[in-house]
Amino acid sequence: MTALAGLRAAADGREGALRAGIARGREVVGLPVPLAPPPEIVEAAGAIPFRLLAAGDADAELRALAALGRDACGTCRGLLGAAMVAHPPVTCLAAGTACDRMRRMLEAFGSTGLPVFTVAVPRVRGISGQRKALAQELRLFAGELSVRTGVPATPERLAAAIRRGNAARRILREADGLRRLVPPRATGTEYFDLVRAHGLLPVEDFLALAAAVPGELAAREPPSPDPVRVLLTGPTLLDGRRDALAILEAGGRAVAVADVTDSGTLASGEDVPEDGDPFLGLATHLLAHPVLAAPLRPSRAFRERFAGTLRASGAEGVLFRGVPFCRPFNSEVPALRLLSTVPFLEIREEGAAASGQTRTRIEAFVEMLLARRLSGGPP
Amino acid sequence: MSSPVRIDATEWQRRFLDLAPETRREPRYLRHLGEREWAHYLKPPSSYLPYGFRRLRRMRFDGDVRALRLFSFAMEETERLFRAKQEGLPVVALMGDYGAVAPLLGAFPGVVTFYPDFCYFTPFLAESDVLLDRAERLGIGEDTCYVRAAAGAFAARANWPDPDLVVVSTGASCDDLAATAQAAHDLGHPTLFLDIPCRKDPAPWLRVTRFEPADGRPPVEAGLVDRLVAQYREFLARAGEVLGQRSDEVALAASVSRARRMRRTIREIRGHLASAPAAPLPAYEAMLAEFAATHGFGDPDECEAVLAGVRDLVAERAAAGVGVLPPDAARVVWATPPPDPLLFTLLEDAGGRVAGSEYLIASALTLPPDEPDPVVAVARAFLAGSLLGSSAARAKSVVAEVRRANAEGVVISNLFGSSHCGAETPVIRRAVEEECGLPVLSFDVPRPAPGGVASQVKNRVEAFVEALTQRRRTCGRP
Repeated sequence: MTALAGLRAAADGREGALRAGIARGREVVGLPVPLAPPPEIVEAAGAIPFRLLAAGDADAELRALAALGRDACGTCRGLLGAAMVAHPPVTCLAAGTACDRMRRMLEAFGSTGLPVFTVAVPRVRGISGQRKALAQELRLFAGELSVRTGVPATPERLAAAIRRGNAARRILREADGLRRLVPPRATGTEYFDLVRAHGLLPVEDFLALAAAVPGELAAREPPSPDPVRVLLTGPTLLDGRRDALAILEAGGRAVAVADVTDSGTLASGEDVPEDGDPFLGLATHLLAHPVLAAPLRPSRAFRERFAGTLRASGAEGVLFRGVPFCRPFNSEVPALRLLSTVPFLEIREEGAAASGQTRTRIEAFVEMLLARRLSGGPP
Repeated sequence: MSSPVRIDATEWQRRFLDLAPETRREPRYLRHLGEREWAHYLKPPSSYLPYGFRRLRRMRFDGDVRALRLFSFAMEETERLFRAKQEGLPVVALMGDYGAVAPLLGAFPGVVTFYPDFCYFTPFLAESDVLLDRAERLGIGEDTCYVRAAAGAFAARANWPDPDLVVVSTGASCDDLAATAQAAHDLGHPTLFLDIPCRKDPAPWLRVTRFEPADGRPPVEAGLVDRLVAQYREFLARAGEVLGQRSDEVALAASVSRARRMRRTIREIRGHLASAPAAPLPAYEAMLAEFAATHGFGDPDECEAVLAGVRDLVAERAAAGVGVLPPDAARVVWATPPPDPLLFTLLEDAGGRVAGSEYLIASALTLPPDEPDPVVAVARAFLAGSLLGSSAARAKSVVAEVRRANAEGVVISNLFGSSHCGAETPVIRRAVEEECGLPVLSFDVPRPAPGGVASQVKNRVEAFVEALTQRRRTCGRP
């Protein structure tokens, strides 16, 4: 078994292990967005962070309709629906108020009986004092969680968790870099498998199992000699919506060489500063994060990240996979289109599973990019 | 006092000719500029038909000249903005805050403010999709609430002059407005962004650790006021740089005092609307009076006089026990402002009456407390905002409004695509049904159509009023 296969298997079996942990009295904190609040705080408070994934299942989303309305975004519906139907192995939930729908979804989570910690995150870039205010908000969260677990989230414990978190980020960044090589040494699917495992496994397990993955990927033959290089963007590529990625990379004709999504680069990002006040360090990291910038106004930083990634990745096409009613991302599409120097495909579809129409569009997009290459278009 | 009556635009045109010339010429806006022929704004509703506001032909209005003055004052805002610009006054667009930034900008005498957000009503008044289509071309399509019309208007450059500054308050608020404001920013307008803090109302699922004493207002997390005050102070400095003026502390204090007076007047009007045996003002004019609290329609001095007239009118009618609708009209609380004002006419024609409301502008209706620092007073009032907190908190305020207005039912006009309506409506419905035992009608307001309100909505509103009347017979209310 390869290291990546071992990692996948560990991630798949994680729920059972967590349920056993809960039975032994462990606190498991469900995190719909793994950045706010940071998992490092959860660990420092003696609890287990667990990335909540949207259901990816139409029935579960339907269950959430009554609470959120039929015009709620698929991500929020999927997350709430999953909690209502599948009862994830968590004892409480914590999330940031990254957008209005997310804020209201957290409130609706109350109906599941789970305690919810709401962490207010800034929505505007560049307001004086917001770093300190966010650090204070994170301290409050740490304090409340510590009361629940009985383990104080001391600065020392938090600093240690940050060091482990940065080590995990380095692995993710290394794997991310492999898919950008010519030819790519890793596929988008493999990178997102790593990201998924990073969200589901305790950081120690992830470090132990994932450390060998980049080396293993780099040492093998490239999965495809000359695939079309595509940049992915949009909100929810990880959450039950991997279908678009699977269709894109089927047959090795294309590879998602980079992404600007809230699930791919969101997990890697830059290191959290390891010196000074750890809460301030985490606040700095959050505010500087390029993908959290999608709901942060004005949107300049997010767009710059998109344009920079597009240039650096040598992508020949852009695939935006969105969901209706995801306002922060959907409203960025016209600007991203303008910034895009290569063909841009926008797919906005309800539900988790790609329809035949979506499959046809993605396949035609790849065909078009291949034809463009043959006809002498920019490589 | 003439007999209260609701009349249509044609009848107002006829009656307008009978008004004394001095009555017609007395209302003037931007009085501080001196006598200007264009500043006389009192006009009958039919005057706005050539502007394309076709809906006015189907609506009914209060037949008193004091109510007409309010209507004209609101409708003339576009004209007033262009005139202000022509006179060299700075014009500032405000988005998303509702009642906080306009009083603060009083620190810069001469600044004229407006809310592009209220363009939300324009596609319906004009029975036209033009602004919505224009917004769609900017990427803000049908999955966004009607506030997107503002993005279309920014692009069209016809609904208001190019503002000298756009002030966007976003954060714990509507995401649709944030996207709309970003589109305005992308068009190149100088923009300052403010971050609206999230108010963690005390509830088991929104855990907080500390709260301040509230003095009757909703409790807020400690630290929020300080952070908002710091943000406002920084904003005033940056706005001063853009406008080329220094913030005048005396003018700021006077502006906040004026906002307090204006809100007090509006609260008196709302008090009469809730308690008078017969509706002393139609719902549309009542909504305009409430919205005046946000920014005084860009001319707060004149607005004070307009509102005082309306207050006197409703007080006289309430004292005389007369109103514009029959005394047995079914009393409802209306939640979320309907972008289509014809819905009010429809409700009133069907035998209903809006006795209370929650139009998402609680921040503008809250009195800034008496504080030595006017910025602190503005921040404290703003934190009572309708959308800053939880859906449960908003439901609580609707329930309080139901009790205040002794209502028999609640109407919620939803906006499809809005980031908050879908989640709020079930919570409000449950709270009203469980705590008050009253029926709730909720519906999505359909796109504007030339033929009037969609028959499905019309049927539902009429059936709801019928059900309330029937219920009164069986339950003995009110």
